[in-house]
Amino acid sequence: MFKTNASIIFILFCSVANAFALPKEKNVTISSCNQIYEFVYNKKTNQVEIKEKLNTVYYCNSYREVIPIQEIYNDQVSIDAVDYNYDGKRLNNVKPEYSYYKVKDIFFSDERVCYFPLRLDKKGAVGNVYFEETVKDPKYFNNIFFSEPYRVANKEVTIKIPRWMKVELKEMNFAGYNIAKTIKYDSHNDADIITYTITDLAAHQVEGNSPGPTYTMPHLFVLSRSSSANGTLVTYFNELKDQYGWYHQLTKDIDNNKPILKAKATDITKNSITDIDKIKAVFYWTQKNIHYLAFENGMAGFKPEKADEVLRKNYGDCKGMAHLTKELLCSLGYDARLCWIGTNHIAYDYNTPSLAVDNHMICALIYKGKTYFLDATETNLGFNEYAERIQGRQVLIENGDQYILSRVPATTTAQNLDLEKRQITINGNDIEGNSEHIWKGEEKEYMLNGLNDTKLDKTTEAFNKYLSNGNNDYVIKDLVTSDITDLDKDLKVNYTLLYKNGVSHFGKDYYVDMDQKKELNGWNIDTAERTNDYWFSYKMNISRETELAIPAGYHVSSLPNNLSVQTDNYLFNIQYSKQNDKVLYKKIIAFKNPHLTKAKFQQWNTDIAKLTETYNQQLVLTAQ
Amino acid sequence: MKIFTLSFLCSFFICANLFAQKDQTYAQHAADIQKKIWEDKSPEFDVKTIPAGMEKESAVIIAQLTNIEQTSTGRLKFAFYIPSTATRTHRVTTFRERVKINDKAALDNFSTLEYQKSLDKTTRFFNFRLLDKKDIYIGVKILKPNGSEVIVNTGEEVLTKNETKDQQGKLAIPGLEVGDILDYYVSKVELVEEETGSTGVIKRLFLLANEYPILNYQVSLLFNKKLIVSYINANNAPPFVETKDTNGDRIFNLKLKNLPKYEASLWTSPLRQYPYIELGTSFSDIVFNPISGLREKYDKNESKLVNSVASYESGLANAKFIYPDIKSRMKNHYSSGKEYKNAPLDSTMNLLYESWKYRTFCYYDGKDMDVTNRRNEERAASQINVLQMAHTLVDLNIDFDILMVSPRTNSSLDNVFQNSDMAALIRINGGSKPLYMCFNDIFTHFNEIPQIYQGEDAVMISPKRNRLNNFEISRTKIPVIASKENYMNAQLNVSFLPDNMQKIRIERNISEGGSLRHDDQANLMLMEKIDAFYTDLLNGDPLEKRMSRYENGKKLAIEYKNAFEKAREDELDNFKGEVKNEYNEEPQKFSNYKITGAGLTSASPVFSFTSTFVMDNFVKKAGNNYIFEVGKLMGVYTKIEDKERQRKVDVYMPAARTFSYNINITIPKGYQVKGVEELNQTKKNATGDVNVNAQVNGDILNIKLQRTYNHNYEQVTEWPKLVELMDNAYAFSIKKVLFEKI
Repeated sequence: MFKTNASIIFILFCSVANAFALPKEKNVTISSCNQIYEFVYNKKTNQVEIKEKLNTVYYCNSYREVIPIQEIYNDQVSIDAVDYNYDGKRLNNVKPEYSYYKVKDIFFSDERVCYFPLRLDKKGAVGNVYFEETVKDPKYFNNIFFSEPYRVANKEVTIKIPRWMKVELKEMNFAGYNIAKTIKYDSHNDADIITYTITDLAAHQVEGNSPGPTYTMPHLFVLSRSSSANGTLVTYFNELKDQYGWYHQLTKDIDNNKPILKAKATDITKNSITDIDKIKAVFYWTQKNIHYLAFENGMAGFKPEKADEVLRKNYGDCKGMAHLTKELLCSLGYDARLCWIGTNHIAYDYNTPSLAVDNHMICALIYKGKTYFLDATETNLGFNEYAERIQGRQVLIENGDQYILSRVPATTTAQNLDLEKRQITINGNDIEGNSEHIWKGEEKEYMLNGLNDTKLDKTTEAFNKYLSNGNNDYVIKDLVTSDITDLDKDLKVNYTLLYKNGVSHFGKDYYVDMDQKKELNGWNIDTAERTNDYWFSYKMNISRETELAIPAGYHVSSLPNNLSVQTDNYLFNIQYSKQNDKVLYKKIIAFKNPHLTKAKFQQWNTDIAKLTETYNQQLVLTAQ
Repeated sequence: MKIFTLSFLCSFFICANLFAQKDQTYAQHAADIQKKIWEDKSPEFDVKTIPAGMEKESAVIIAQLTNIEQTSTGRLKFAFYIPSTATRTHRVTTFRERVKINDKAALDNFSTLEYQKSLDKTTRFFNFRLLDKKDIYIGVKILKPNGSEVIVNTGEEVLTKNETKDQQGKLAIPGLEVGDILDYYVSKVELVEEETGSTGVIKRLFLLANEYPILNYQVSLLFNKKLIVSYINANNAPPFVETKDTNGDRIFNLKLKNLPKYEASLWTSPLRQYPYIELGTSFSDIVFNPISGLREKYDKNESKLVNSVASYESGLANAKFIYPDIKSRMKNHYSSGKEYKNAPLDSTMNLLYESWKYRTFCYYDGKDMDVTNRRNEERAASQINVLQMAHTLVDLNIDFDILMVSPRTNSSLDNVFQNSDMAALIRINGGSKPLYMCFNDIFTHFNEIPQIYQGEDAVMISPKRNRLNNFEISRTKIPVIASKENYMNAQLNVSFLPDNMQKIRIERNISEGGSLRHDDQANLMLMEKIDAFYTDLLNGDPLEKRMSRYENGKKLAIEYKNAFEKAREDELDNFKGEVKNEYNEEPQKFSNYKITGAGLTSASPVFSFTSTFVMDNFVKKAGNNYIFEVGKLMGVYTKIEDKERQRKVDVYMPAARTFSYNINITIPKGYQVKGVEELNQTKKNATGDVNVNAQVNGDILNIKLQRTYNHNYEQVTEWPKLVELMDNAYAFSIKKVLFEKI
């Protein structure tokens, strides 16, 4: 993970707040919230800073409650003052704690949290919380989110911008909210005072598989262009070249131990013949041997670790892994570059240069006029395959003093094929047969991640359980798995199956369920509860083919109905057919666009009902 | 990630006088410790290979050493220039492990260390100072498959807290790969002073089983002779080899080989079934008794159990308490003393018990406003409540015994290590049969024995001459409640949706008794309803009056009413959740959900509730016919896996119990049912039975199913019989019938 930016912090705050089991918004409301952000010039440091005064008033609606107050800070953001009172009385027995802020999946960061409990000791109690903070550099001041974990009755956000400071405020996701804006000129300070007034703002709901907050929450995207506070022009990120220049400055002079890297790259590629083989060998070696550990410590949150250090340690974050991939390839004479990229968690792109635009680093390899992107943090994804989170995203590629702005290829559903082919027969009340299962792309990565995270002595059991869909009557035997360490090939398994009591036998008829997986069965979205769009993790592409041999002396007396559903997002297709002495079952569930908007939830539920109805049909074979 | 907490750590052979060398820096201490540990030439920590076949384990612990060296001595201290004494303890605790990493899961598990690097909680009051300092030192080395050894620079740690008196560190171990052998230690050096009167009690539990197999296991402990050391070795755990050094200090050693890994399985009680050693140290045999509030002498010639019971006796004798409000409630309940005297014993005791429940669970203090079903997880502290109830019973001149039991989820009674390992309950005598008062959750009835006590040995404390200062001690066994008393009866009325026969409508009525009702009561009952029930039952005061003992009590009562109202918002989700949990599927069109019997008292012991909903996936369309997976109406039932069919340990089930289902499925007009006969089955053995009886009565397909587990405990030899029953139940769970178009 790249250095955390303000938008990420908000998410983390919310998730932590959720972990604290926040009371539902009905019991606590933010009756008023006043936030003042002022750009000031600090003569001592000769830097522009942003002074923040954040005053929040919590109101207890129904019954007493203790709510957690927390404010995140780090090396670039200081908390200068904290004050709080309850019904106007100072809470002397409550002291704010300052501590390391532990974030899941991040080994270490410079994020710190100031926190304390705020007791709202009776119905109608009012808790008043005040923070003063300083952002030490406009580069790190990227967003002002309006939403809070509680419903907000009234909120006022004021930004004071002296005219020596060039800032653009982009209003994001304002539609549908009660937000008013005024601009005044403060002649005394030669500053513009921009005030946003927000009323009746719903509490922010944390939901899984949601778009990132920059897509959903009303907020200001703050773009600090330049300042001329002391008569000297200081340019921040006025244009993309400024942002790139800052990144390039951090990365261009990293003193790598090239002989060590060269020796390692040579060793890794000793059995590779072609260039592409060598490139793949380096990429796969890095994926397999460098384990991901995220560090976000001050400037180290932006500056990659030395490549030979990543090599020595066998671990690194995205920056370190990208850097090592690049340097290993460069040591072999290939044109490899560092890249900055914002994953699809972020709504912005490089048209608005800002540290909030990107959150990830990868490596680009330019070979014979084609650019390949190598993301070694995707531990089990093949060469030239791309994870949903970076597919189609703008990517900033280093190019000396210049940069290249490009895009990661937007791959199609075909990349992520999950194909199962079965040939089955009926034996008494059982189904017997054999199966071949192939996983590609992100489906393969999902499978391999699961297998690698499972203890070695439990792997076979876990795999069998997955293949049998948790059904202990669906017995997997003679499992043959392709080399799971070979990321260049699809994951493939073959096995024989015995599905005990898989067939119902009444009178002269066999009743056969042709599908034991039934993906997405009953997978409704609760439209009353869900507030955000639903984003599937990647473009699923499930294909199932089952070929049933009709038992001698039987004929097909009833084939189930077919299903064909096609929307802009997804395709559900189920086909039954009889061919000679066989019945064929074919199913495709494929997502062209895995981002399901709220407007499409109703349609989705209707289509899922059709899918469920189709699943709940059986083939009938009747004795002749 | 291996996270080491202060309480977890144990020690190694390191000079215990590190703090005395004030001029040494942390780095110098770390270097000294590292030198001593890495120079240790124990053969167990020199092993470089693992036995054949073990390469398929995720990781193998080649050697694990837990070492403690503790010296506690008295010291003269001055408080305001007045001499006093304190006990100063030096303790060095080291945990060292040598691990073969065989896969990525193990690599992830062992690749980072997180630790409290130093903590100084020394207290000062003018010139009086009590030391409390802890430093932790870590060391890591990696043995590569080619035989090379890399000592990791632990200076690569990061500090997540870096204050003068509190440092916390994390280390990502560089260079560690699958196939390596990791050898690491975590050593804690403590210097703690405790005031006179402190006992310095520390308890440690060594479970002789692990997440990974252990080839060489060693515990090595050294305590100076002033320390009192005691331990139990449970479930065939071997004893320590005890020796003394030249100073008379005691040394405890345990060396074992090839400890198996711990494998979780169905219905176990680990502290009854896996060997472990529990050890305690203190520097005084005068211990504080939290029950009596007194400092009392520990009799080291007696067992832990005897001492624990004795401390409870002392508590009974010394803590004077009765429930005056309950006494007055009882007095008010009966119109005269004569009526009270003439009332049956079970009636008066029932009133006493229900009054206790009301005052314990339905009197609120404003500290916890959560009145959702999470509140139902509250448990009464049994020992304190028994003590108080005992005094009340004496006051009422009732003949009773107190039973001390170690719950089935805890160690056996003979392996009790301290008083808090046990629960207490009361047995009322004098009636035609014993009556029990158990102090557990709000749903426990008078004369109901919680399942975790059933069938257990108990120490019986019998007051002599109805006084609580002289007792007779004996043993007894707590009864097991029969399977018919712990029951779940389900009445299901099922019909096809007329417009879509792939969906069914279920009207479900559940009645539960005994231990099988508790979980559903806890999930479905809201505090508001419980409060109203008891207020009505006991003619209790309205909420406002109960709150009147508090300042702003009226306002607090309003807040609780608001909280009750808020909790009601969860009720639909609670009911839906119960159905989803039963069928592993989201119910649709949920309606008519309500509790029809609260089941809160022994007078109305049945908890019952109802709901109506629609379900998918029970019915499959096949041509013009429909296949109904009727077995699924029993709820989700998982087939026992092959690996679980072989078992080595006895079976600790929650309770003897019976599940009954009476299912009526309306046969749609124009259809006939096939496959009904195949539903019928009977299986009975010593562990229980499974019976299914199905028949068509007019337009109703009726299925009666009963599953019974006769006992709450079975010896492992009976496991095949239990498996036989479970297989039969599973066989029904996948049964289908055909609704054939006529």
